[in-house]
Amino acid sequence: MGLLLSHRAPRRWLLVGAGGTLVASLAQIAWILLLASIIDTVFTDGADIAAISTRMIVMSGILVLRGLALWSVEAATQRASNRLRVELRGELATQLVRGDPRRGTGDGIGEVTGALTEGVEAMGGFVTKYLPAMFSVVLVPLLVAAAVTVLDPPTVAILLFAGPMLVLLLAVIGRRTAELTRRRFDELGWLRGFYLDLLAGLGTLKAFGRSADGAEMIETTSRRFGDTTMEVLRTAFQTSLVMEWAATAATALVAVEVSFRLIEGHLSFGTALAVLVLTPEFFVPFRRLAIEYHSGQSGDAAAAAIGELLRPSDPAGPHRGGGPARITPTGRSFTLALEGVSYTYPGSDAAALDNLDLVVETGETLALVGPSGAGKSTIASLLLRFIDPKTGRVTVDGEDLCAVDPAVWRRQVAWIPQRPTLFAGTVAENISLGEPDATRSRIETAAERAGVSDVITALPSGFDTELGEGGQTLSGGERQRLAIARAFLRDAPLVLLDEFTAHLDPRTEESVLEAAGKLLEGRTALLIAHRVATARSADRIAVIHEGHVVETGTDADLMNARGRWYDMSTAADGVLR
Amino acid sequence: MNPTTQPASAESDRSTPVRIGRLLGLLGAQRWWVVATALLAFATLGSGVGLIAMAAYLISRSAFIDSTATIALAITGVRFFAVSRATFRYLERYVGHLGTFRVLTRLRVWFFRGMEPLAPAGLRSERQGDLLARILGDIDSVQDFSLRVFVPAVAAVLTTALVAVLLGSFSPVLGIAAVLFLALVGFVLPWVSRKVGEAASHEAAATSALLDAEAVESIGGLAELVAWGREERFTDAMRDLSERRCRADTRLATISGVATGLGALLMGLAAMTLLGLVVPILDGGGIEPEYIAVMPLVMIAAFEAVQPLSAAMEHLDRARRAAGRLDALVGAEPAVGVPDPPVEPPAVAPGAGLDLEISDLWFSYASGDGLDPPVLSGASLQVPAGAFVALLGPSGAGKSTLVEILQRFLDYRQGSIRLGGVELSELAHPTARSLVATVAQHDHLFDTSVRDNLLLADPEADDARIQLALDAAACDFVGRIPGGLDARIGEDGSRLSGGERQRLMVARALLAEAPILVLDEATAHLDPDTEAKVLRGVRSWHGARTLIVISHRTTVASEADLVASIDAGRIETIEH
Repeated sequence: MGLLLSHRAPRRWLLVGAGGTLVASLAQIAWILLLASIIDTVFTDGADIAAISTRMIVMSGILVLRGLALWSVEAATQRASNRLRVELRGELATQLVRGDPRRGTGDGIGEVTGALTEGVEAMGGFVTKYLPAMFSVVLVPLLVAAAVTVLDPPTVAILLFAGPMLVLLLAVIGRRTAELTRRRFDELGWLRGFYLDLLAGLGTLKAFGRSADGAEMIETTSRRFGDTTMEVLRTAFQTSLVMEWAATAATALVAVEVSFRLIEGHLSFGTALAVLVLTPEFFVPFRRLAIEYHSGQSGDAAAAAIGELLRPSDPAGPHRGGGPARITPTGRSFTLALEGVSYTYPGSDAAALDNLDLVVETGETLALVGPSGAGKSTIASLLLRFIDPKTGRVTVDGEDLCAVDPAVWRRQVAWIPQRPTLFAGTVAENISLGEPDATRSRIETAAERAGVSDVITALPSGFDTELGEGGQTLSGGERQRLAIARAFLRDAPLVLLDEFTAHLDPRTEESVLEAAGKLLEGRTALLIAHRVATARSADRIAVIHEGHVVETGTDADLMNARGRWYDMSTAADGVLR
Repeated sequence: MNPTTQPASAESDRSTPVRIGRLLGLLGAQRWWVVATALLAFATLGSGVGLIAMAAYLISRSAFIDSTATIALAITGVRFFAVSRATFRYLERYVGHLGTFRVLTRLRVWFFRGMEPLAPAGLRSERQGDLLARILGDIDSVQDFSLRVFVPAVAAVLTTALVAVLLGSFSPVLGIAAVLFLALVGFVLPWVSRKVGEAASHEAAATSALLDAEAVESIGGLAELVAWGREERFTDAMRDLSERRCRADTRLATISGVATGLGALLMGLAAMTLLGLVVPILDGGGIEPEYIAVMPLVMIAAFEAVQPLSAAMEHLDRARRAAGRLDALVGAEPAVGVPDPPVEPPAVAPGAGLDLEISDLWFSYASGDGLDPPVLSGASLQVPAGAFVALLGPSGAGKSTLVEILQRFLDYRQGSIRLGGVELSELAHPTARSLVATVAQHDHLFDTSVRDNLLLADPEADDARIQLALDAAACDFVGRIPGGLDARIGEDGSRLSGGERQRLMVARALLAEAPILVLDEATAHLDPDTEAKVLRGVRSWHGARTLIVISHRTTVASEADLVASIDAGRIETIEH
C-alpha cells in the first residue's frame, strides 16, 4: 500500500488534507473551550447577551474556519484520489497490454477487470475516506488529551486509561471479527449464488413441475443460513458494544469525578464543563474509523492485487528486441521453427513447454492436437509474441523472432481465437480491427470471402449495425466468420486458428471450416484442433503431450503407426481431449 | 469505435419509482422487526441525549452544593444512560441484522413466487446473466430500505420529538429552535446538496457503468486487441473514462465538502443560539440555573440522530427505483393463460404413449407495437401414440417456438393442440407439463450434484434407477468424473462439455416418464455415433411412449416411424 501511494498520490494534496484536519480539530477544541466559558458566564453571573457577545462573534468566526477546513479536507483528498486513480489505471492498462495479454482470460478475467475497476476505486476510497479517518485517530485524541491536561490534569488519567484500552480491545476483537465477517460474507455470497441459480433455472423447474419447491427451498436454506450467521454476528457486534461502552463509560466517569471535585471546591464550574464536553470528542475519531474500516480493508486488498499486476513481468518479456522489422514477408508465407523451446508460466512449477522442437513449412497447414494443458495454446502465445521462450528460440525463415519489434511482427499474423470478441462498434469497424484505415470496399470484399456478407447485409443497418454491449449479437458461426473476415482483410502470411470451432455444433463447424479453408490457401498456418475431423483437414498433424511433440506426420502415417494419434482419433465421440 | 458515447443501459429503464407505502408493504410481516430496530435505535440515541443532559445537570448542580447526597439521583441517571446506550446499541444492531435477513428472504421468496407464472419468458433476454445480476442488486436495494432508510428516519423523527419536548418544557421557543436546526442540518442541507449534485452523481454512476463494461469487454478481448495491434483502443478508453469519472467526483466532493462545512457551522450556531435564547428566559425566572448548560449540550448531542439522513435519502431513492423495476417485472402479463376450470387429463396407462395432434397452429411474438411476422403459420402434425417422429428443419424454422408452446411457456391463440384428444390449453399447467417432457435449448442445469439434477425429474428415484437413466442417455462420463453422482457440475453445468450437458439433460427427461418426450436439438453437440447411441437408449427406455426428435440433421430420420420437416412455420409430413 505504502509504495503504491507514495509514487502516485500527490503528496501536496495529502498534506493539504492533513493540514485541514489539524485546523478543523484545533478549531473544534477552541470552540468547545469558548462555549464552556460563555455557559460559565451565563451560569455564574446570569449575565445578559452583551457580556458574551464578543466571544459569540469569535466563536462564529472559528466555526467558519472549521467549515472551510472540513471542505478543504474533502476537496484535497479527492484530488489526491483522482490523480492516484488516473495514474494507476494508466499504469495497469499499459502493463496489461505489454505483458501476456492472455493472463486475463478464463478464471483470471474477473480478477483483472476487478482490479481495474473496483480495485482502483477502492484505492481512491482509501485516500478519501480511510486516510483522513486514520489521521484523525492519531491526531484528535492527542489534541484533546493535551487540552484536558492543561485544564484539569486528574481527568486526563481517565482518557489515557480508556484510550489505549479501547485500542487494545478493538485489536483483540477486531482480529476475531475480521475472520467471522469473512465467513459471513462467504455465506451470503453462497446464498446469493443459490438464489441466482434457482432464478436462472425457473423455466426448467416449471417444466418438471417443481417450481413450488423453489420458493420453499429459498425460505428454508435462507433460514438455516440466517441462524448460523446470527451466531457469527453476535460476536461481531461486540466491537460496537465495546466502542459504545468505552465512550459512554468515560463520559459518565468524567462527569461523576469532576462533580465530586467541584463539590469539594477543587475545580471551577467552567473547567468542569469544558472537560465534560471535550471527553466525547476524544472518542469521535474511533467511531469514524470503525465506519471507514471497510474502506481501509478493501483498499489494502485492492493494493495487493494491483501491486501483483503491476509487478514487472518476467525479464524475457516480449519487448526484449524492440528493434526495427528485420523480417519482411518473402513471399506470402514463412517457414516457422521452434528450436528447443521451453516456457514456464509465472507462478507455476510445471513447464508448459519443455525443450520442444517443431517446424511448420512454407505454405503448410499444421494441426496441433493433444489433451488440454499439453501446451498448444502456449505455442500460439509464443507465435503471437504474447510471451517469449525462456530457453530456445522461435525462428521465422531462420531469423530469431525475439529480435523483432512485436508490433511489427504481429502485422504478419492473423489470429482467430476460440471465441472472437465483438467489440462495441459497427460491423465494419469490427472487421477492420487490424486495419483501421481499410476502405469500405476492401472490408466488403473480406466479408464476401469469409462468407459472411449475406448475414451482414441482412442486419438492420448492414455494415453499419452496432455490435457489442447493447448492440446486435451474432451467432457463434457468424462470429467466427467475422473473425475470418478480419484475417482476410489483414492478408497476413501466417494464420493461427486456435480451437476456433470448439464452441460450434458440427454442422456450423463445417461451414466455418469451409470459409477458413479459403483463407489458408497459400499461407502458412497452425491449426489447434478440437475435433478429429478438423485435424484431418490439415496437411500434417503434430501431437503435443506434456510440453513435447510426441508424433508428427500426415494422418495416414500416424494412423499406420498406431500411436497416440490413432488412439485419440478413434476414441468415442470425435472430440479430442 | 468510441466507447464513451454509449449511455449506460441500466439508466434507461422505463419503470416508475414506487411510493414509500409500497416499500413498507414489501416488508410484509417482517416490518415488525424493522419497527423494533427503529425503536431500539431511538432508545440508543435517546440514551445519548439523556447521558449528556444528566451529566450537564450533575455538574451544574454540584457547583451549588457541598454534599454528594443530593446528587445521588443524578449520578444514578448518568450511570443508567451510560449502560443503556451501549446495551441498546448492541440490541439495535443484533435485531436489525436479524430483521434484515428475514426481509431479504421474504423479498427473494416474493420475487420468486411473482416470477413463477411468468418464467421463463420474463427472465429471458439477450444477456440473461446481466438481467439476473440486476434483479439481485435491486432486491438488495429494496432491502436496504429497512435498515438504511426506515430505521434512521424513524429514529431521527422520534429523537427530534424527544429533544423538542425536553427543551420545549422549559420554553416553547427553545423546542422550536432545536427542531428548526435539526431539520436544517438533517433534511434541508442534504436535500439541497443532493439536488445540486444530481447531474454529477448521475454522471459518476454512468461513467462507472461504462468503465465496467469497457473493462470487461477489453480484458476479455485483450489478446485480440494486442494481436491486431489495437492496444490504444483499450489504454485510451481507460484514461478517458478515468478522467471523466474524476471530473464528476471532483464536483461531488466540492458539493459534499461545502455541505460538511455548512453542517459543522450550523451545528455550532445551534448550540450558541440555544444559549442565547436561554439568557432572556433566565432573566424572567423561567429556568433554573442548573439547566442552563443542559440546553446547548443536548442540542449538540441531538445532531447524532439526523446525521444518517443524508445517506438515507440516497438509499430511499435507489430503493424506490429498484422496487419499481421489480414490480414491473413481476406485474407483467403472464405469457400463458390459465384454464378455468381445467379439464380432466386424458387417460393414459403407465408406460403408454399419447397421440399428439397439432392442427393449423399459428404463432407470432409480440413486439414493441403489435406482432412480428408469424413464426408458425398453420403448422399441422399428427403423431400416433407410441410413434417416433423426426422433425427436421433449419434454424429459424419455428422448431423451438413449437417446443415452448408444448411446454406451455408460450400460448397459442389460433389452431389446436390435442393430447389424447384433450386440448392442451384446457389442461392445468402442471398436468400439461407432466404429460410432455422436454429437453429444450434453454434448459438449465443446477449448480449441485449430478444426482440432485436428475432427482428434479423424479424425487423418488434411487441410485440404481438413476444409473439406468444415465446408461440410456450414454452418460458414461459420469462414472469417470471424480465424485461420480455426487460431483458438482458447476453453474449451468459449466464443468461439463456441451455434449455432456446435453446427455445429462436427456437422462433427466427420461426420469420424468412422461407419455410424450420431445428432444429439441438435444444431441446437436454429439458426433453421429454417440447421437445414434443416445437415440437408441432413449427409444428402448421409452418403449411404447411417444417420442419427437427435433433436429437440423437428417441422420436422426433413419430410424423414425415418421419424418416431418418444418420450414417457415409450416410442417410437411414425409411418409417413411
